[in-house]
Amino acid sequence: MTDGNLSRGVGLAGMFGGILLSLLVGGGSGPALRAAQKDEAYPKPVFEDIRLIGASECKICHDESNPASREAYQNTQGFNFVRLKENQIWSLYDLHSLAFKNLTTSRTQEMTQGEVNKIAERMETNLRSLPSREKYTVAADQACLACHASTKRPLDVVPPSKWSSDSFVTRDGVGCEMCHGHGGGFREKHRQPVDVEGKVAAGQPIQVVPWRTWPPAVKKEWGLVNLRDPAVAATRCASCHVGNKEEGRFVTHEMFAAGHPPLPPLDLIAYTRELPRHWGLASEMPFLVNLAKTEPKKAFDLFHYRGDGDSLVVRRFAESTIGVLAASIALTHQLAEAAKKKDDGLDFAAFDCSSCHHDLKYPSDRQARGYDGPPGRPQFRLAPFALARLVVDHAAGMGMGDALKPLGGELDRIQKELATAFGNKTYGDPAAIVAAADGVKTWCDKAGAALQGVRYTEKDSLALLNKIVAAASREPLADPRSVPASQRSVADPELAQLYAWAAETLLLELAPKQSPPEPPAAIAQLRDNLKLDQKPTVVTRLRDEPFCCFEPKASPDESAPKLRSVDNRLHERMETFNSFNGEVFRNAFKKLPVRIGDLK
Amino acid sequence: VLFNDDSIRIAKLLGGGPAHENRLCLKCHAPAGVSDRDARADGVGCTACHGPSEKWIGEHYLPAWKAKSNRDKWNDGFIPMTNLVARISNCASCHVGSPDREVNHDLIAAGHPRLAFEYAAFHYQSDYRKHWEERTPQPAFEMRAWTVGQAASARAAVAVLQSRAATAQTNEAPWPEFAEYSCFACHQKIDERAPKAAKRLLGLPGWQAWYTATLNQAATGSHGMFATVDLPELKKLAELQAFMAQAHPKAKDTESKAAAALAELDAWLVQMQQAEDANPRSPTAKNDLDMLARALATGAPHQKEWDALAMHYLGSAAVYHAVGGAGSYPAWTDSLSAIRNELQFPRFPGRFNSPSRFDEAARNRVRGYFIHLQEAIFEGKNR
Repeated sequence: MTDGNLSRGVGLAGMFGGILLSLLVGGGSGPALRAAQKDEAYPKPVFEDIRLIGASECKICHDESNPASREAYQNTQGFNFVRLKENQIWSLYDLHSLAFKNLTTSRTQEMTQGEVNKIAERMETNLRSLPSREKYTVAADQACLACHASTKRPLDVVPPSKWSSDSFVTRDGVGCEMCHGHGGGFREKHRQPVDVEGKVAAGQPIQVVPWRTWPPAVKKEWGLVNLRDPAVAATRCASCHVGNKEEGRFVTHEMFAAGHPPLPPLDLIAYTRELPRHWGLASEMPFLVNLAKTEPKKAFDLFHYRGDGDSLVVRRFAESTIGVLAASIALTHQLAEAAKKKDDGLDFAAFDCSSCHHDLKYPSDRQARGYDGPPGRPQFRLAPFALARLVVDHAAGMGMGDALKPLGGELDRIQKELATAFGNKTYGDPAAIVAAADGVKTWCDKAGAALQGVRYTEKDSLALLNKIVAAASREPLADPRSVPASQRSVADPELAQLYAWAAETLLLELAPKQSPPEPPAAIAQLRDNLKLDQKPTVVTRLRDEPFCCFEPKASPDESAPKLRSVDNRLHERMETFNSFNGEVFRNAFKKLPVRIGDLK
Repeated sequence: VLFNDDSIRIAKLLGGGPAHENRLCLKCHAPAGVSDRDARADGVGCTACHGPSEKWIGEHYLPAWKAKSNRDKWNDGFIPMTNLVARISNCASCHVGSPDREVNHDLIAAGHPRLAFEYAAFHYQSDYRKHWEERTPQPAFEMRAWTVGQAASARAAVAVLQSRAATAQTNEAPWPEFAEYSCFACHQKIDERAPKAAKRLLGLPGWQAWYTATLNQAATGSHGMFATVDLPELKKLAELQAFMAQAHPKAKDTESKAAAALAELDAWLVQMQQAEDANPRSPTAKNDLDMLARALATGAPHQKEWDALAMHYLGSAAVYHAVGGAGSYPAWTDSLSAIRNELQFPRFPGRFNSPSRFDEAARNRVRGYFIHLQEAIFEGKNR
C-alpha cells in the first residue's frame, strides 16, 4: 500500500465515523450522509503535502490586528468566519509556545535558547543517576518531545514507533498544527475563493470559500481537526494532557518521580479560558451566527453550534466531560492491554495520584467518603467519572433527555466493576480492567451522542450549576457503602478541582456580562472560601494572569503580572494540591449563591 | 481495644463484621479468644507470650522445672522468655506478623496503625508496665535486645513475605502487598524536590525499609557482642530486597528468594539463641558499644527515607539508654533529642500517622544532628 492509499483509508474511516454520529443524532438523513454520498464532489488532498508548515506560515493571515479594515479580506469577509488575529494572542500569551523551551537544562541551554527550567534540570539529574542513563537529556528524549514539540508528520502517517530524532520541529514548541492538524494539506484549499454567482447585495462578500462549509470529515481528510466539536477537541487536548500511548504520549510514574509535575485533571473550558482563548466562539462569528439562523441543522453538523437557546459554552463543557472520560479510559485501556500481554501490572501513573499521595491523618476525608471495595487499594482517577456522571444525570432531567435516563445507573455499575478490577491486584488486574474499560467506552459513545439531543437553556444551565454545587457540598455519609461512588462526599483534590472549575464556567456564563469585564463576585467569593489560613486548598488557577473572565488584549499589557518561572508556578500548584481539605471544600460551596437572582 | 471508636470505624470500612468477632483482629488482640469466646475478654493473655500452658502449668513452679533446659521447656510449649531470641521472635509474630497473622494494607487504610516494631523501644515505652524484672544487667540487656530484635523482626518480615508470595500464586490476594513497603515512599507529598536516591528505580517504593535499614549494623554488632556468633553476610536478604525493588516482582520467584533469605536469617538467629542460652548474662564490652554507635551515626547521614533515619535513631537511642542515658553520655543528649523532634509526626490538627512536614530541609537537619552525634562519639566526648 502506498502512502497515498493509506491517507485515503484514514480519511474515509473518519468519514464513516461522521456518518455513524449523524445517524445516532439526526435519525439517518442528515447532511453528513448526503455529503458522504456526494463524496466524489470533494477533491482529495495530495498525501505528501500533509505535513507541518509552522506558525510562521499561519501567521501570514492569522496575525491581523484589524482584519476588517484590510482590503485583502474584503472579498470573502474571512474575518466573519474566523478572527484572523489568532496568532497575536497565541504568540503573546500561550504557554504551548514555550513547551520546548521549558525542557531547557544547564546542559542544553545552547540548543534550546531558553532559560533553565529547574524542573527539567531536576528530572535530567535524577534520571542520569540511573544505571546506563548517564547521558540522558530531556530535550532530546522522544518521550518528552512528543508533548513538548511539534511532529513533522501527523501521527497516523508517522506513528511513534517510526519516530527518529528528525521527526520533530521544536521552533514553535507545541505549535498551531498540533491542535488544528498539519497544515500542508489544507493551506491552499482553506482560503481558496470562488466568485459568488449572480448579483451580490451591498455589504455582502463577492467571493465565498467553499472549504468553509465542507463537512468536518472531508476537512479531516485534508488534515484539519474539527476543534469546534467538543469531543474532538477534548480528545486532542487529552492526547498530551491525559496521555495516549498509541500517540507516543504518556508521562510514566518514573517521569513523575524524577520530577515531572502531575497532570492536572483536564477540563476543556477551564484550560482554554487560561490559554487564553485565541479563537472566536461560534456565537461571536457573524458567518456562523447567520448560518445557525438560516440553516440550523447544517450549523450544528458542521460547527456544533445551534444559536440562541442552547448555550455554546455549557454544551461544550458538558460534551467535553464525556470526551475527557473517553480519553482517560482509552489510556487505561491501552495500559491494561499492554500489561495483559506481558502478564504484568499497570504503571503507577495509571492510578489516581492522591490514592497514595496523601497525608495519613485522622480524621481522614478519604475514610469519611468511603471506598469501593476494601480500603487500601489504589484506584483509577475518579474525577472524570464523577463529572461525566453529573452532566448526564442533569441532562436526563431536561427536555429530550430521555435517552440519558438509564445512563447514570449504568455508569455506577461499570465504575464499580472497574474499581474491583483495579483493586483485586496491587497493580490492577489487566484483563478485568480491559473488560471494564470497554464498558466505559461504550457508555461514553452513548452518552456523547445522547447529549447532542438536549438544549442548554439558561434555566437548564442554572440547574446544572445547582447540581454541581449540591454534589460539591455533599457531606460524608454514615454508611457510604450503601450508595455508589457518585453519591459520596468529595475526598479527592482532582475532583474538587473539576467541580470548582465547572462552577466557575457556569457562573461566568450565567452572570450578566459587564463592561469593562469584571469577574463575577461569586467566583471571587468561591476562591476566597476555598482558602485555609490565607492559602488556596483547591487549584483553580493555572496561571497568574486574570484571563479567567475576560480576554487579554492582543498587545502586550505592561501592567499584567510577569510570567513567573515554571518551577515557582508549579510548586505553588502542587502545594495547593497537597492541602485539600474536605470540610473547607464543602463549606465553600455551601456558601455559594446559586439562584439566578443572586447572580444578576 | 476492639471495642473503641477506632476499631468500630476500621471494622465498618472493612465491612467484615465487628472487630471483636473478626478472626483477623482476634488473632493478635485476643489470640486465645479466636476459638474460645470466653477467653476474648483477657485480650492478649499470659499464654499468648508464655506459650500454651497445658503441659507445663502443673510443673513450672517445681524445682525440677527450673533445672530443665530451655529446649526442654520449649518442647512442653513454654516459651523461654529469658532467651531474647525466643522472646522477641514471639513478640514479632504479632508485632511484625507471621504467616497466620498480618496487618495488610486494607487494614491500615481502614485506620489500623502500621506495624513498625523495634523491640528495645517497645520494651521501654513509658506506657507499658512490665510485670517482670530483667536479669541481664545494662548495657548488655538493651544492646542484645536491640540486636536480636533487628534479626527477629527481619526474620518475621521475610516469613510474612514468603507466605504472602505463596498465597498470591493461587489467590486473588493483592500482590505485592503494600504493607511491606515503606509507607512514606508513596504517602509523600507530590513536589518532592530533593535529588532521588540512585539506589533503586525511580517511582517505586523500597521493600521493608524499616526492618532492613539497620540490619547490617546489627549483624556486625552481634558478631562482637556474642562471642560464638559468626558475622552474618545476609547476601540472600540483599538479593531479595533488590528483587522486591522492581515494579512487578513475580510471586513465585519471590517465594523461593524469601525461603533462601529466611534460611540465612534463621542460621544467624540460631547462633544468637545458642549464645543466649549458654551465657545469658555476659557483659557487653565498651568497645562493642562504641562500634555500634559509630556504625549507626555514620550510616544515618546517607539515608534518605524517614523509615531508615528513624531506625538509625532508635538504634542510637538504644545504645545511649543502655549505658545510662544523659547521666553517662551527656554529649549525646542534645543530638538525639533534636533528631527525635524532627522525626516526630505532627500532632495538630488532628492525628497524624505520617511525617507530614518531613521535607528535604528537615532531612538535612537530621543528617546534621547525626553528624554532631558522630563527632561526640569519635571524640570520646561521652562523659
